[in-house]
Amino acid sequence: MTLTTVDQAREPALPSKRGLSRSYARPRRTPLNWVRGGGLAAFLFLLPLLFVFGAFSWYPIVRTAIMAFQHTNLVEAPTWVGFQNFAAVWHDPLFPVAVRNTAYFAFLALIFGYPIPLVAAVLMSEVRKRRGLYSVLAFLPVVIPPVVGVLLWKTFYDASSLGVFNTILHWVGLGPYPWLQSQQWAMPSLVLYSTWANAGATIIIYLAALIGVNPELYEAASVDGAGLLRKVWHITLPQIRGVLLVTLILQIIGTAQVFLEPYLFTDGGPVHSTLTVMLLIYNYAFGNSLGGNYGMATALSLMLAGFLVVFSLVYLRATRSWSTR
Amino acid sequence: MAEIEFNEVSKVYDGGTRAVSDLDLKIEDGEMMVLVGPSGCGKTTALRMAAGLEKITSGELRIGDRIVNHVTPKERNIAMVFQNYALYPHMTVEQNLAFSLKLHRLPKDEIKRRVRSAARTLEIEELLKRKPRALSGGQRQRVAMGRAIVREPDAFLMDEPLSNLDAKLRVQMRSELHQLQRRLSTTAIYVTHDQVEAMTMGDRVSVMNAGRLLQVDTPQVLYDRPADEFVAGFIGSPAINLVEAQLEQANGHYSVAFGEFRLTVDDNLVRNRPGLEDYVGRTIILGIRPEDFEDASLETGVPDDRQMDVEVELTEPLGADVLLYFGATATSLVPSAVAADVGEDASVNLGANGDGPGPARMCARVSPRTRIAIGRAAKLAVDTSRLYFFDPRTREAVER
Amino acid sequence: MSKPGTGSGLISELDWEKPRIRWGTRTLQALLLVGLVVIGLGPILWLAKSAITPTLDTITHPMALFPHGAAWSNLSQAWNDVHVGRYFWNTVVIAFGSWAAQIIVATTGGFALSVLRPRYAPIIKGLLLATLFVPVIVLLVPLYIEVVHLPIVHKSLIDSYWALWLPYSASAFNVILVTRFFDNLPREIFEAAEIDGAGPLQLFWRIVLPMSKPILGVVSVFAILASWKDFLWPSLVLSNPNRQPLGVRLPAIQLQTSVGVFLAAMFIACLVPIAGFLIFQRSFLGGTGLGGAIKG
Repeated sequence: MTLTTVDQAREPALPSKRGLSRSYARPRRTPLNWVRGGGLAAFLFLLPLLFVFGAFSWYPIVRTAIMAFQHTNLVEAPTWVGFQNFAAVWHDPLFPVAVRNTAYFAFLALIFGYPIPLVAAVLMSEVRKRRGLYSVLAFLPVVIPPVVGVLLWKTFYDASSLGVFNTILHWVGLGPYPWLQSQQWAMPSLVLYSTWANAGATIIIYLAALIGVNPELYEAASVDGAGLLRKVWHITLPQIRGVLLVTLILQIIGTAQVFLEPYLFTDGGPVHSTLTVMLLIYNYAFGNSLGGNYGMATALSLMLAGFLVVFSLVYLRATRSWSTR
Repeated sequence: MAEIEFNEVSKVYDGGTRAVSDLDLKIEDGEMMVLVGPSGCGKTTALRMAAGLEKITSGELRIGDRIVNHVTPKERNIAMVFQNYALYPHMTVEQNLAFSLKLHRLPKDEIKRRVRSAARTLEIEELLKRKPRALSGGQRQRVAMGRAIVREPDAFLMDEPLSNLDAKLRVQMRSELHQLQRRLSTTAIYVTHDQVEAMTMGDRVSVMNAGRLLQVDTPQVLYDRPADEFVAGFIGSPAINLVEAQLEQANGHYSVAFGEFRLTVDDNLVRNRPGLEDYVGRTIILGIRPEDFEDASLETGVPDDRQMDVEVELTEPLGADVLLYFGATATSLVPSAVAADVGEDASVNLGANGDGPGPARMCARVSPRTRIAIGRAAKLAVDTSRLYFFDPRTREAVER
Repeated sequence: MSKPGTGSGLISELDWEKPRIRWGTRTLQALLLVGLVVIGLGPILWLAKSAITPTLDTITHPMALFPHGAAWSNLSQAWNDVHVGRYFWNTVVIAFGSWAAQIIVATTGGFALSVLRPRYAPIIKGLLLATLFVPVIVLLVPLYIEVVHLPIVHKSLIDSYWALWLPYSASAFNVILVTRFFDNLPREIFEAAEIDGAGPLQLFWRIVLPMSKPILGVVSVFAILASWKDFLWPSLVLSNPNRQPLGVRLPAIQLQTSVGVFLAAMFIACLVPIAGFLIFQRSFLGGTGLGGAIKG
């Protein structure tokens, strides 16, 4: 409490916008004064960032917007084609398939990847000894390179005698299942892998939030007469609301861009049942049959990005009133 | 309404730390009992054990006539005010107040009645629809109190509820709180590290240190008859002056000699301290409170053997009094209460000339009409009927 | 915040005394632990076992435990014959370069934005924040075309590791993380250094960087891990197989060689991430960025 009084006393009357000592009235802005005032130093320090972002982040973003309205091949100069690319994407029979599949993947991934980590994290938050062991085990799949994970699970899903899953299920008299070979089961198989590979990170994030809850709130609730379930409902969930909401939107955005799993597991098959939007973009740009169509690729990229941005904004708006503090 | 009784209650943590050792304390029904002591003395742990937030390692805790060692907080019918208020941040003030009542399934109109009544008492009626983050510190504190009041519990347990308020607000809230508790006549345990708060608020005050209860008495008795040197140093500000002195007897009168000074002990005091007899001719720890000094020129009829000739090193005018600091070539002691609070800095003596400890620095509190100034010699009168004596080994007060 | 070694506060000490709660929770936690071992550790253990199991055994009895002894040759074959060793080395070089590039950009940029604070800093911060919101796909195609044919310089970065290092270093997340961290350093220390006579470079090198070990640890760990895990971009810009990292080669290796050797290659590809994780646990599990982002 004394601390706040001291801090308030130290706050300068004029907020200092510049970092270091700038309490005197600013002299005339000349190049020499600029250098003296530290402007050159700041600029030099920013050069790496400005160069790298300018060249490899901001410029490409702008170019995507431009290329979506052009026809590009790498030989001649690009030509403007208006909305042609967008129309082509819209009318591509694979487009609605990809959208549907992506939504399906996101939906399934959310069902498994959102609440289950929460339950696990709540249990873990009350582990008194060796909580670290739980965390390490949960996070281990996250550090495995996705290529390894996918190819490993591909062998698990294998229909031949190599397939571990079918072997195990055989012990309890179930299966064998076609997994990646069936139109019906391919996508859920992907989701299963994806949950395995990513739930650990979600668990850790939830865990950190749970541990960060002020224990005095639980104590006050105990004194007020709340039992275990009521404490979870009235204290735990409201306190971690912020984290819950952010994780939800991040998961949705992440799953909407799923690429590696469909690419490596099934290459969009069987019969396009695992074709996602991201994979379609890849095929437009680099694929064997369609490839080289950078216009359609960027158009679809823009469409997806646009959708995600709008979705995020709507989401942020809707959840703004739900902030914790 | 209920009494609370600690019966040889101890709290030992897994590593072996004894937070509370064999606490024996009985709090009467309707009484405001203050637990006071330096940080780490166990007062908060004792409070939390009373609340059911800490497990009791050994001993018995009773509320009313029930042994409640294993009873959950919910079933103890107590209410707690936390140091940091612990208000539910996502609920409005009204919802915060009503929360426990809802959990206990009180009828809606009863809940409404209690919430309104508490809000009126604490003057937070206009705040009912706000959330905690929109309240000032003082307002939050009152909401925390309100949450306790609506429960109409058997006892209030308060953990330094005023320590997060700024000084002036704290002084004002002190009296409000005390009056409120009186009016409700609910048993209350109040934990604080501030001895002024303890003295003003408690019907009785328990002084604790290092997990032990040193003395429990009314404030005045704690001041007049501290059980040991710790309590003497803890109560009263500035802290009591402590020096090593020789107790001598001559012509039927007792006197104490320390450094260049000699004071005759008042006969009435001697009569009330029969135990002093054992210390004649030996070293004893002598305590003189700063307020028991006065500028001799402002007092009339003080004999010479109750005066001290001092050279004042520093004066601190407080407005209502003046503090004088002077040296004595005697061995002084840092009151262990001060050392407990301040740590090793308590015995720092800046500017001392190199070898060895400096002279004892003593403090006197005199009237503002004094003309004593720095660097000048002065005569101080001592009220020797108010001297304190402690055994040099056990540090306990010499009583009988 | 609850203390380490205790629960989060949900179950109080006295709640814990009730047998139903204590044993119910313990049972659920035990089940969870078993689940985590089987699900989290299981696949990796299988991979480790199969990496040194003869191909025939793996194919016919994948769940059996060395029915005909171990085949350590899988590992050496993978390393030498299938050149996993070379690809592994490529991965290391790429990881090191991207680590260095990311650290340099994030620290210099963060220092400028947080400590030096030029007038135009808010603009740059805004641009960075906006970049965060842009999904990564938007970059893919134009970045590829740019790498194939760099503007102005008219060279191609195809098959050069710079095609990886430079784009990786343009991580808005890193810069924001580091800037935030620098923001939380006490300004008085910078002012004291200024009074003592330090210029910007000394301030950066001698004061700010040494104080930044925690965040540099987090950024490093994530940079190296991300580089190790990346597949799509390296597969696009590195056409020469000899330059490709291990991850990108794995699908091809699967087609070239037997199952046993392939699994051995996969296992080798996992080793560094797993070892790194076990050694630097705290940086992973403590600094998963998100917790701090929410609080702040």
